[in-house]
Amino acid sequence: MVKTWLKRWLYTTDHKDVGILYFVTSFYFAFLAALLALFMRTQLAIPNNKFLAAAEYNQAVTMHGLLMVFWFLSPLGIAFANYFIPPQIGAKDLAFPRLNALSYWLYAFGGLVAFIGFFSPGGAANAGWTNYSPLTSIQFSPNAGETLAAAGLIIVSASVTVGTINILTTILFHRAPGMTFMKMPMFTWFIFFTMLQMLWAFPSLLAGLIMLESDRILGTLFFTSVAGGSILWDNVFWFFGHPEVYVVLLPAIGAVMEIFQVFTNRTLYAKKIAVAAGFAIVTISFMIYGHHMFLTGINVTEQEVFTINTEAVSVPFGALMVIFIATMYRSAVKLATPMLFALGSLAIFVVGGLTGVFNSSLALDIAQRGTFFVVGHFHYVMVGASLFGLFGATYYWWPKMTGKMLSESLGKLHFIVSIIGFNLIFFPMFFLMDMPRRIVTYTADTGWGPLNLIASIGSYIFIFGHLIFLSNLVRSYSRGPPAGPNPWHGTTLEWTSWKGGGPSPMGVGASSIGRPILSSLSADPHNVKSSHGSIGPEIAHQHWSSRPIQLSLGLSIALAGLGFGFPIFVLGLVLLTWALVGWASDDLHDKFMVPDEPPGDRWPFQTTTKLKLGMWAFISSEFTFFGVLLGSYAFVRYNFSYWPPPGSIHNIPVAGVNTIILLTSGLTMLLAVQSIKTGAIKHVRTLLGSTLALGVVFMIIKGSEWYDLLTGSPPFTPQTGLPGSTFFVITGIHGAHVIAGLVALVYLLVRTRNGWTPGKRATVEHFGLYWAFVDMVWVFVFPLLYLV
Amino acid sequence: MAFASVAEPAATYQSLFNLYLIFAIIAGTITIGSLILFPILYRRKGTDEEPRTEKKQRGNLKVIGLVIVLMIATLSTTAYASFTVKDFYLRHPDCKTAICVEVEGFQWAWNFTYPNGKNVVGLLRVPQDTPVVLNVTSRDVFHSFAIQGLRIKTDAILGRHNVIWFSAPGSCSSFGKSGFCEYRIQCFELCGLGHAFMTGRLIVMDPTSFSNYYNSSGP
Repeated sequence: MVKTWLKRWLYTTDHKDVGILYFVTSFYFAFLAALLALFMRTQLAIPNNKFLAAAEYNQAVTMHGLLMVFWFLSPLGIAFANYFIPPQIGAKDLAFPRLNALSYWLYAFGGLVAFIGFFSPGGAANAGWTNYSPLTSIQFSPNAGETLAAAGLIIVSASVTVGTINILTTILFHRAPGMTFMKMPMFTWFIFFTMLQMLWAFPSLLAGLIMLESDRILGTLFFTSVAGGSILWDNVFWFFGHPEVYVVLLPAIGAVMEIFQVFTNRTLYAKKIAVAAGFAIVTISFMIYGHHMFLTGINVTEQEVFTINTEAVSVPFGALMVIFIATMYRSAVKLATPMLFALGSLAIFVVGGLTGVFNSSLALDIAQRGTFFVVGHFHYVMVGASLFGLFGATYYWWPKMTGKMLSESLGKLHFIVSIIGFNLIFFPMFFLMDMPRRIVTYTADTGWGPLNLIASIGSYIFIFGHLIFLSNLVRSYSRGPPAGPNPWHGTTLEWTSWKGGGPSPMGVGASSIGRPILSSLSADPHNVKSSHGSIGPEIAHQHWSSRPIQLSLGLSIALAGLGFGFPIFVLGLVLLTWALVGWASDDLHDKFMVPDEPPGDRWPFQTTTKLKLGMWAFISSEFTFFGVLLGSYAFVRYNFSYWPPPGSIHNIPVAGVNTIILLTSGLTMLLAVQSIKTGAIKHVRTLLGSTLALGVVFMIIKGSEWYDLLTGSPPFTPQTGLPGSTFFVITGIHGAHVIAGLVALVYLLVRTRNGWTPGKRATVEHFGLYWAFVDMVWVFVFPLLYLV
Repeated sequence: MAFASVAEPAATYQSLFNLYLIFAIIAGTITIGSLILFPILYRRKGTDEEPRTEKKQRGNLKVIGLVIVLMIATLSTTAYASFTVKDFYLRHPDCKTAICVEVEGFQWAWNFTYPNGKNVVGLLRVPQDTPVVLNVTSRDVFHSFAIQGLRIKTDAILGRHNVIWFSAPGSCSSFGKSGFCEYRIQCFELCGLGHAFMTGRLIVMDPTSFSNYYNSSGP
C-alpha cells in the first residue's frame, strides 16, 4: 500500500498528480524562503542589530529572492496550469505526460541543488538573486554556493523549457472540438502568455549561467573582463529578468479573471481587449529591460527608449484594470474568500504598478535605484499582486483538487491578517528612499529605525496570517465538509470534470463567448465530488514512468558536481546516461503509450503533428539561446581592444571543409526525411547512417582543431583571453548540440531497424528539423568566429 | 524647461517626483476606490442566482479607449518631464569651472582624488555653491556611488567611467560634527560582506576653509 502510494507520487505523469506535486513543493520552498525573510526582518528591526552577520545576511537575501521567484511564485502558477489547463480546454492530459513529470522533477531537484549551498563550506550563494558580476566570479565568491545556485538555475531553466513547450503544445493542439481561441478561459489565455514569455526569456538566463559557470570552472573571461563584465551580465540577465516579472504575475492575473467572472456572476467585460492587452504585455515586456541599467552609463537615447517602452507597458495593464472594474459594474458581487483575495491582489497591484511608473523614469531612477523604494515596489507587484492572486486561486480551486471545502471564516481571517501584515511590511519602504537595499544593518543616526521596526512587526503578522492559511488547509483536508462538483457555480469546463479525469463531454463547445455554460450539473450522474479524488492507482498506473525522476536526478547530480567535484559529476553522468537509455528502450518497446485524443479544435495547426509543434517551440527557444550567445560574442568583441585578425589563429581551410561536411550531413538528413515519406526504409537507414558518419567526422575534425589550438605555441585556450573564451564556449555548446543529435541518430537507426510505421516517419521528420537547426546555427557561427 | 531653472539637483528631482506623485495619487485613488466601492455597491443580494451569460461580448469599448488616451497623455507628460530633468543631470560643467574629482570604489570604501593629486579615502570635502564633477569608477566589483541627500547616484563599474555632478548649498537643516553641512555617501549595489559599511561623508565647507584644506597635506 505504502509502496503503491510512493510509486504513484514518484512515477506519476498524470497532470493532476504532477500539479499537486508542484503545489506542495512550491509551498515547501516558500516556507524556506519565508524563514529567510523573517531572519532578515528580525535583523533589520532595530539599528546596529547583531542577529545575523553580514555573510549570513547576504546568503539570506540571495536565497530568499531565488527561492521565491524561481521555486515558489512561478511554480505555484504552473501547479494550477498543470491541474486545470487540460480540463479547461477539454483535454485529457498535457501533450507530453512524461516531459511534464520531467519538468517537475528538474524543478524540485534544481531547488535542492541551489539550497544545499547552505551546507557547503562558505555557505550558499551571496551575491543577490540578480547575481551581478563580477561579484559572482571565483575571485570574489570562491565558495561552492555560487556554483551550486547557478547549477540549480540551469536545472530550473531546463525544467522551464521542457514544461513550457509542453503546456504551449497542449493549448495549441489539445483543445476540444468547439474550443476556439476566443472561447478559451482567461486563465488558459494568461498561462499561454506566460509560456510565451518563459519560452523566449529563460534561454537568455541559461546562456548567461553557462557563461558564468564556464568563468567559474574553466576560467573563461566573460564576466571578469572589462570588455564583457558587469554590463554584459546586466544585458543578458535583465533580458530574461524583466519578462520574468510578468511571468510571475500573469498566471495570478488569469486566475483573478476566472474568480471575477464567477463571483460577479458576469462574463468578463471586453474579453477581446483583455486578450489583446495580454499580447501587448508579452511583446513590450521584451523591450523594457534596460530600465534596470539606467545608471550603468548606457547611452542616453537608449535610456529614453527604455523609459518610453516601460511607461508604455502600463497602458495594457491600465486597460486590464478598467476591464476588472467594469466587470463589477452593476454585477452581483459575492465577497467569498477567493473574491476577497482577487480584489486584494488588484488593489495591491495598483500600488505596485504606479510605483513602477516612478521607477520607469530615467531621472527618478537616479535616487530610487538600489533603495528600499524599489524593494517596496517589486514586493507589491510580485508578492502582493501575484501571491494574493494565487491565494485566491488556491481558495477557488482547492475544492476541485481535494473534494473538500475550506473554511470561509478562516479564509476571511487569513485575508484580513495578511493584507494588514503585507501593507505594514512594504508600505513603509516607500518612505525609506534613502536606505540601500541588501544592507545587513544601519546606524541609528540614519533615522531608518522606526519604519524598519514597523516593517518587521508587519512581517510577523504576515507570517501569522499564513499559519491561519496552513491550518485551514490541514483542517479542510482532514475533516472539511465535502464540496459538490461545482461549489462556486463556475462556468469553465474544469468544473464539469468527471470520473477518470478530463471534462465531461457535455458542455464542451457550448457557445457563449468565453463562458461555456453548464446546464444543471447536479443532474449529471458522472459527476463525482472531485476529479482528483477519483483517480485510483489502477487508473493512474498506465501513467507511470520511472524515467523522468531518474533523468532529473542524474542531471541534477551531474550539475551539483560542478560545485562538489569531478567524482560527483561523473556519478551524475552515469545515472543520466542510464536514464536516457532506459527512456529510449521504453520507447522502442512501446512501454509508455499515451492514447491519442480525438482531434479537436487545432486551428491554425490542423495539418501538423504535436511533436512537430513541440519541436518548433523548442527551436524557437534555441533561437534566443544562440542569439544571446552570439550577441554576447559581438558585445565583447566590440568592446575589446585587440582581436586576432581572421586566419591568424584558426585554420580556415580545415574549418571550411568541416563546414561543408556538416552541411552535407544536413543534405543527407533532408534526403532521409524525403525518403521516409515514401516508406523506403532501407534507403532511409542508409541516409541516416551517412548523416551519423558525417556528424562523427565533423566532431573528430573539430576535436583535432581544438587539440591543435590548446597545445599550439603560444597555446590558444579558454583562459588566455576573450577570443579564446568565446571560441571555445560557443563552438563547445554547438558541439554539444551536434553530439546530442548524433545520440538521437543512433536511436533512430535502432528504431527504424524493423520496418516502417507512421510513428517512425514522424520521429525522423522531427529530428530532421533539429538537425537542420543545428546546421543553420553553424552557418552563423562559422563566419562570425572564423571569417571576420 | 521649468525644471532646468532650478540650479540644484535635489530640488529639481523633487519637483519631478511630485509630478509623478500627483498623477499616481489621482490614478490610485480612482482605481483602488472603485475596487473597494464597487463590491459594496453591487454586492449580491438574495441567495445564489443562476450564472448569467451573454451571447455577445459585453462592454462599451469607449471607456477603455478613453482611459488609454488619458494614460498616454499622462505618460507622455511624465516621460517628457523626465527627459528634461535627465538633461539637467547630464549637462555637467567642464573642469575649468568645476572641481573634478576622481572617485574609485573598492571593497569596501571610496577613494577620492582631487585635481592636485590629493588623495582621501571615505571623506569628500567640497566648497559650497561650487559645481563638483565626479568621475566614478570601480577597482573591483559592481558598486553604486550615491549622495542620496543631494539626489545623485551612478554605478561604479570596473573599466567604465560615469560622470555626475552637483553643487551643494552651504546651508542645510542640520549640521554635522564638523560644523558644516554633511551628507552621507553610500554604496547602493550589493558588493560583498562590507556592503552595508561602504559609507563615506561629504562635507560642504565655506570657500576659505576649503582652500586651506585643499592646500594642506592632511586628510
